[in-house]
Amino acid sequence: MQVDHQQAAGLSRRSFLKTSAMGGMLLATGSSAAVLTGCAKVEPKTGYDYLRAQDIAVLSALIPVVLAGVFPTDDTAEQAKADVLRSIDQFIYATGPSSMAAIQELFDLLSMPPARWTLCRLWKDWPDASPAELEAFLQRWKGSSVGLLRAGYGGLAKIITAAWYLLPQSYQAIGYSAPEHSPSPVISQGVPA
Amino acid sequence: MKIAVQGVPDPIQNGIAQGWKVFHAGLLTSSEIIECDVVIVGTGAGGGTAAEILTKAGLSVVMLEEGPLRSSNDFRMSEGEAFRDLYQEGGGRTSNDGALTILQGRAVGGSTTVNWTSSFRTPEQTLQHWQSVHGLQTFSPEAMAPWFDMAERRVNIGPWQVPPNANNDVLRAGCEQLGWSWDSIPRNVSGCWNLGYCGVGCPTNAKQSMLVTTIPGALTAGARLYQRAKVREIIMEGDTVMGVVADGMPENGFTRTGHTLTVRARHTILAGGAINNPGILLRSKAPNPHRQVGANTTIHPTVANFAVFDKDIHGWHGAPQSIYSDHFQWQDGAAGATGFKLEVLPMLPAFIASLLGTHGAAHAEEMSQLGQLNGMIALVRDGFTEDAMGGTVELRKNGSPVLNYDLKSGHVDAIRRAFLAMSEIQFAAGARQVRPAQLGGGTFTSWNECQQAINNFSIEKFRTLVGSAHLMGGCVMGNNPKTSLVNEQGRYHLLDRLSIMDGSLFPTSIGANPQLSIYGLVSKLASQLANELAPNGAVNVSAVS
Repeated sequence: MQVDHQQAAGLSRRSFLKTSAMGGMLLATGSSAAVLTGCAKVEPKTGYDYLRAQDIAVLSALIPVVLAGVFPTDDTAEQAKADVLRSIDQFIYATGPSSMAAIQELFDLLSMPPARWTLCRLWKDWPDASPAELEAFLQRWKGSSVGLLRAGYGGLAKIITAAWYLLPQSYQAIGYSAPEHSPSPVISQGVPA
Repeated sequence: MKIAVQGVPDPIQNGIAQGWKVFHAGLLTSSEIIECDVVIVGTGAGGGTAAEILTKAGLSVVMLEEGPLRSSNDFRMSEGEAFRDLYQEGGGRTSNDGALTILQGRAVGGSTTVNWTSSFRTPEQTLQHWQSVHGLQTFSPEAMAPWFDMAERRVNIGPWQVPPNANNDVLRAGCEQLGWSWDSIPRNVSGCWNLGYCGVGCPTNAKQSMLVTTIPGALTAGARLYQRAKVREIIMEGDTVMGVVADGMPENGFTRTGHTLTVRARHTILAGGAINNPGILLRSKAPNPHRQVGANTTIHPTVANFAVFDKDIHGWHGAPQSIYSDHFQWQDGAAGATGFKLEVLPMLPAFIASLLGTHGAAHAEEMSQLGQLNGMIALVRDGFTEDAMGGTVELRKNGSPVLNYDLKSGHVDAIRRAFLAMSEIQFAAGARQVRPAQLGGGTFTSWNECQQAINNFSIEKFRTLVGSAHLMGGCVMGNNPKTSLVNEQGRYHLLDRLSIMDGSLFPTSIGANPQLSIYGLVSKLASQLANELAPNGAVNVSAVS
């Protein structure tokens, strides 16, 4: 593992959590969750540079809902989900320690049952939640009067939709085609520098 | 028709093959100390311009760039690769609270490698405001004109003769219909293929960025360039700056290799931009008694409006920005109600997907109409009035710099007027459906309904989508050390042998896309510095024009 996750996890929690009056409450919940689950020490899942198993559980539930209408519903869905997860992983990894830490705080929060119950109103664990329940969660956060929850919604929607449209398999449905590009040979003599 | 880019020689890879002094600080196997006349931190609009002028004046110059060296052979028109390689924090840079998205370059050429080529001289209103309110004496429109002339020649800035793409034409047609002023945007291109991929690295070298103009100019004249060299701090001996210490960075761009590059120099120039320059100064504990490091950081807070048309727009194709409107920019004077500039966005899929602020069926429907979608933006002119001041840069606990920026009443008022103006233009241009980028703000088919809704918008963070691609200020010029950080020559008030030369000098935002403002200003300051430092005592300005 190349990324310094301890450094990332050791950053202050301000970036995500201090954004509203609820920050203090969430910060307390988040700290206790970190103690209970030890999540700050969890390594990325094998094959990933950033995402941990708990993040993948949350994202796996949300991907088909956030991408409803474009995400495959046939037997290619599992592969597509793996592609989106990999795309998310690489995008977040490239943002470096500060963003990685902030997004990790969001995933820590979502992975904690008390926060899932109270803030997301999701009684079942992520893999067991129905699409309708997940949609209700997204709408609740999107329309919340609490800036922090809207921030969480915006972050999740952005991460998942951007990751999908970074994948060439998304292009056909939107009528976009990526140009072709061929590098040119390097010339070491005869051309003025 | 599938677009194919091939047969384009790569001037950077060829230059290296022919002996340019280009190094990779992330590959150093031990820490090194080197010496030069001038070390320049950052290779964007400011650093690139300064490097060529100083090198051609006969000085030994070292350029340090935090990001990687990428060039046309690498520019494969892929959004993912571009975010990862060419943007600060992999395209994920935000304000401290995460509310504002910040697009800023991080590669050799800086933001000029990824900007959309819009090239405006600093508006006269801005220069006059600097004179009348900030007391600057040497930047009148007349004094600046020859420097803009020189910069325009150097990077081939001129009128864009090709008709605008349909996305830009929405702005033209709407303004025309409403009787509002508009004009075409001058661009810094040479032999442009009109592809539309300026923002992910020009694959044809048509864009006359620093990467293909002044940096090759400096390297050919003998300058040295280190990529992946992230400056940690300046070296101070008493009140004198003696150079910088940089960390070698590996390809992921954020873990340090452990080997440093120390550059000892007769003069040090910071040109790392409005966020990173204050970061270096704060980490260095440079004298800052009046808290001017990182103060007055302006960003042109930018909001977007999307509209669906009954015809193809294909806004990913063609020059991304070719039409603008300043109809609302100076209506009430520079220090009156905050104005905004209107332009459009390049409509690349992942970029637009990330800006919509929706999900599920609504997002899918909008993306299925990407080819018929117009994306308009308003850039708010911040930093001119108390109710629309800029933000501040501070250090996170891990030592990285971050922007704090609040939306004040002047910003909020300007954003509301901007949503109204953009919606009215889009309807006037024949849009079937209009949607301001406001969370839960609604989608409208009639101007009346839309107008009412916008008037009731709660314009606030995490509800109104606000971003910035123009980072300015934070090391501002002035003659009073209590209210500025550097003097009119770009010299740090309280340290010797240290200059700032980039957009972080600006005492307000520019009120236009800033690249040409940086080229012009830095051409002037770097030429003055060359006159002081150069062995022959004078700069041959014609050598760089």
